[in-house]
Amino acid sequence: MKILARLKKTIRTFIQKEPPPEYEVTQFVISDRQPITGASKISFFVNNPQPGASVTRTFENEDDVINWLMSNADFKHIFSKIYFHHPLSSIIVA
Amino acid sequence: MKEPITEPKKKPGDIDILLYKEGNESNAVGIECKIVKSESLENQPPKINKITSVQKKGTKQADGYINIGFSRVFLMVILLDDGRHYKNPNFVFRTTPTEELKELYDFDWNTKMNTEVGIIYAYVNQLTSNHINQTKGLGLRIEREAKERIQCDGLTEKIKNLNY
Repeated sequence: MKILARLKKTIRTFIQKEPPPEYEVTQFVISDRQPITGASKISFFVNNPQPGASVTRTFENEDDVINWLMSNADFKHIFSKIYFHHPLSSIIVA
Repeated sequence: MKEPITEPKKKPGDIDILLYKEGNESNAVGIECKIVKSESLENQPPKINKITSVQKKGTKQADGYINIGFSRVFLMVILLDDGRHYKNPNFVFRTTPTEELKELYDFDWNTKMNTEVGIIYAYVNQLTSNHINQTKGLGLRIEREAKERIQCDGLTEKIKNLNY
């Protein structure tokens, strides 16, 4: 059984487009995908002197927010884990 | 999503999120989503809007989901929280203080919304000046579980016929 489970895990990992997150997902997740290349002069911890758009205006309407959330791998992960207790891959979102 | 799940000129106008397991369409979940926006400002209380609208429209539309006959129905309140101007040196805590959101959290859902409807709070926190796709905080809390009901057969058939 252990071999079968390991095989399943290997296949699932291989199929996944993105590598699995390296943090443990709890009820609150902080995600940062900023590559640390040293090319940027803007510190991760200091406000950008030229602030970007507010998240309150990033999306034009309600549907945009919903679509963004449901296509967000982190959110889907939390949502499925808390609510369905199993991967969202087996659930159809329409 | 609208037709065939919803009917023209009837509440709710559309279904925001429909969840179901393939082969188990008779236990579908319908989720009505409402957005609340909170924007931190320099040396001022945050600007928070749409709370009243969420409570009024959200409760009515969730009732519409119940009438359609879903096995479970949720109202999901999504808080878009721009915390960039909060002064906390640790960006993880640049979120709107709970006391500023009392109007939202203290709403009497129990008497003003069908008790079968569950409530989910979702948070999208903008913590730094990076784009939200780059750095964000996400939170999810199931405030109240939805009451499970026997789903309407007609709805199950409609879901089976969807092409996904």
